Amino acid sequence: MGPYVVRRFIQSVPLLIGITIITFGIMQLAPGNPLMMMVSPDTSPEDYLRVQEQLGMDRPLPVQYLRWLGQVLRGNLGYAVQSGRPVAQLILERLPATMTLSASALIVSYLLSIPLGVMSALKQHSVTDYCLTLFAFWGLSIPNFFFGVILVYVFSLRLNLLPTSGHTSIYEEFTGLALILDRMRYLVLPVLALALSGTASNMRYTRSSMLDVLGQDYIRTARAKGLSGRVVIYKHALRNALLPIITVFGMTVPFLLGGSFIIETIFAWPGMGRLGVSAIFAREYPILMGLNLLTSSLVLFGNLLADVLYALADPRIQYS
Amino acid sequence: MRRTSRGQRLRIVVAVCLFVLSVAGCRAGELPGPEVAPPADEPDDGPRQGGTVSIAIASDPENMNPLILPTGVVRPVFETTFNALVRSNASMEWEPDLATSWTVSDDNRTVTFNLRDDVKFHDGQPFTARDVAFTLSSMAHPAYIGGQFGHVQNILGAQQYRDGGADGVEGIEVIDDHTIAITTVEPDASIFVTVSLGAIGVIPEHILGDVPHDQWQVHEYNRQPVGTGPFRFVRRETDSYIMLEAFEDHFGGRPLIDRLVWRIGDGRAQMAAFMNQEVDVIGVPTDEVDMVENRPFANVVVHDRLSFTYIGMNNLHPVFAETRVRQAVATALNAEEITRAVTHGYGVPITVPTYHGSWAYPTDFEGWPYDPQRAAEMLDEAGWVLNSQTGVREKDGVATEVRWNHAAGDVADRTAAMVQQDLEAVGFKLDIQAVDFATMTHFLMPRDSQGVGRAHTVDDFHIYTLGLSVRADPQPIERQFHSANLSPQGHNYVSYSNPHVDELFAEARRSLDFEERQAVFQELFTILGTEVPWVPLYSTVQASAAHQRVQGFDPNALGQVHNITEWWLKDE
Repeated sequence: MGPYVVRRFIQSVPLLIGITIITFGIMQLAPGNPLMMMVSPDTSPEDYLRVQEQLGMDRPLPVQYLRWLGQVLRGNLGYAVQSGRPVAQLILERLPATMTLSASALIVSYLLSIPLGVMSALKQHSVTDYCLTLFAFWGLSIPNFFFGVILVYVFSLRLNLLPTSGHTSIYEEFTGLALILDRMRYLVLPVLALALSGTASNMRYTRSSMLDVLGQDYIRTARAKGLSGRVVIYKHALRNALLPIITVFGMTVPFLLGGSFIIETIFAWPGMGRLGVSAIFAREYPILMGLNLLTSSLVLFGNLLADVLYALADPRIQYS
Repeated sequence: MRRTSRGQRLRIVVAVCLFVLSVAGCRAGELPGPEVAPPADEPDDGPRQGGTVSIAIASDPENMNPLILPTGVVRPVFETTFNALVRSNASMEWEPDLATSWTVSDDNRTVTFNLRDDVKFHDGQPFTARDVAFTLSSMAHPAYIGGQFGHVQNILGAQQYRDGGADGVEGIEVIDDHTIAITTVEPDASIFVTVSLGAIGVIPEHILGDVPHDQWQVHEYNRQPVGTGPFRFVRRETDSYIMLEAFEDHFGGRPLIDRLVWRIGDGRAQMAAFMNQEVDVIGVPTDEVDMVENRPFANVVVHDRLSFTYIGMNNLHPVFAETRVRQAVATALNAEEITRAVTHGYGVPITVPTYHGSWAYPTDFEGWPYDPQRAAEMLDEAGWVLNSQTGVREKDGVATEVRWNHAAGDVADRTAAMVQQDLEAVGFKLDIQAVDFATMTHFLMPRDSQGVGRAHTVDDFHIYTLGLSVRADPQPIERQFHSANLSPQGHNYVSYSNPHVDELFAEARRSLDFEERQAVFQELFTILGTEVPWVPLYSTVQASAAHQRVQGFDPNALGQVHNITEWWLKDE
């Protein structure tokens, strides 16, 4: 499998460069630029030109792109226009918050969806199955930002159990366990909001995949051998039924690090999603390019990871 | 492969543990939250020291150095951490801040400021006139890229220094530790704007003096500012909060509250947080004032802002080039009704393009009262005749079909719909295009393909609405109306040009006599109100709310925090 992985990595490079060229072009097509967002009526045109020159934004676009690429190859993602801070630093500062949020959401959604999906499949056409199916459709059709707002309304404003937004208390300072518990209180609502649609869709994937596997000959054989129901279901059926879930997992990896633009904004969560939103409105090209490079690398990596995991889960799949 | 799979399992175990922890977090709702203290038995006994106040702010001020590309969102943060020589009071007059008094030379070109001698920076170092000189001359340094040169360019020798032809700014003279004289090229009333809080904050020479100017933008100082203001920087958590604490040695006395936290978050999130008593002070959209007022703990104040909203028309466009047509547009618009509807009755309609509370606002000018009948007649008289087939007016083959732009948002969206209704009633046709703010800047400050500013054309935009922030002194509005500021030189977006207006701006600038300037500006604004390069709509209002435990909260046109040193927290 080693050579296969290496080959895939090498194939990713031109793909990544292509993605960045397209992103760079699209960004430049949007009217306005980061400098104009900083220009107030106090700014003289001379000031403008000076800053523009300093940032190299007066150069032709291909030159600007190559300069950016050259920087990236030297391990430098560039600098934010407005604050002058390194983009890598802006991203790194926000990565932990985003990872905490999305990893928790991912875990919650898998821990809920797989058992529920299995249950739904085993009791096909029962009341439980119908209720879970109803839940799944509800979860898939309700936009997560709306669900987030409802959660805030119920759990914060009505029941006063949890904070509405933010990720840490600003009135009190906690240390040790109290600090962890404090942070967790802030984590609950955004995690639920973010986990909902994943739970619903993974549950449906698990259900149909499970039903499919349960109808296979080898399951009948296993039962005929006299294996107990538990062993058949968990050892033989579930493991095979998880294959599609792995594909889905591969696609969720970029989300894990890329952050959720909307949920982070609603919950004032200090992560990469909010960085992205503000960068779009401020036309912060360097930040957007950095975020884009990161996310697209993750998409490629996630797909590769899924392929590798296939082989682990299904001995019939071999890469050479 | 077996090993990898064991690793997988380990990861799952860790994941489960994390999940259990987060479920435990669900129950942590019983932890002491940010609720206020239980009611005190003893009655109120006046202002007292202590406590933390949090104020909502929309985005993270990554850069807190007032000299480096300051954005609107950081301004209140500057006000609590920095000082300037003068500041504006609620009547828009200059008041002492770091300067105790000033004298003006006979030729009106030199202002000598006497500075306080009891001021320290947050790191304990004394403040002197050299810090002022350093601050002002830095803005003219050849390598400076903070974008604020415009504030100092009228100081004698600033341009030469910037062009590399001098070692310093000739017009900035440190007389002794607590006296500084500033000389301008011409007599210039706007020198007070230059040395006021908002334009600058005095920064310490002992920290930044040795830092090359081209390194300023990335210097750590921008993240951990040291100023002379009532609060000093403690720490920050990215996109989450900035914590300040009372500066014990502040020259105006230590603030009563111990800590000031700027809580960072989107407007919606902040509103929910305020309703749940997680943040103390917040700006409230005018359509939500009623909702917030219903909360027993909320103290809501609707107050002026130093800004107004207007409709701009491209004076190069054949339709709007005629003064008579612009006057007809002003007459066709029911500005009062628009104001009432979009600001929920709080906005103050204006007839000239400035803030209604300004001393420069002419009191005896009526503007163009709403009269659609009259507007139609005015258009007829000007030769713009209604084409009964198309329903729009025409003259010399040009139709009154124009493109309308606004930066998408509740207020501007509603304004657009109402303007469309009023103008279509007199024979215009508006194609409404809502865009984001960055796109709007692109229309108003067009660039060529190389990104260099170019002159406006007829089609960059036709008609639009936008707000404009003003300062206590009306002089800066010449950037919008003086013909020297036509594109690409300046911000005269609508390409308005009137030599008489230019002359009045110059006259106001030359005089340092308040009453003389007041008369000049009132005349000038009356001309702008009559010729209508912009249709002024209303002075913007803002609502601010504070938790009732915050005493002394008194927002006005100067903002929420202008009197923050007087705030104190009441026990509840």
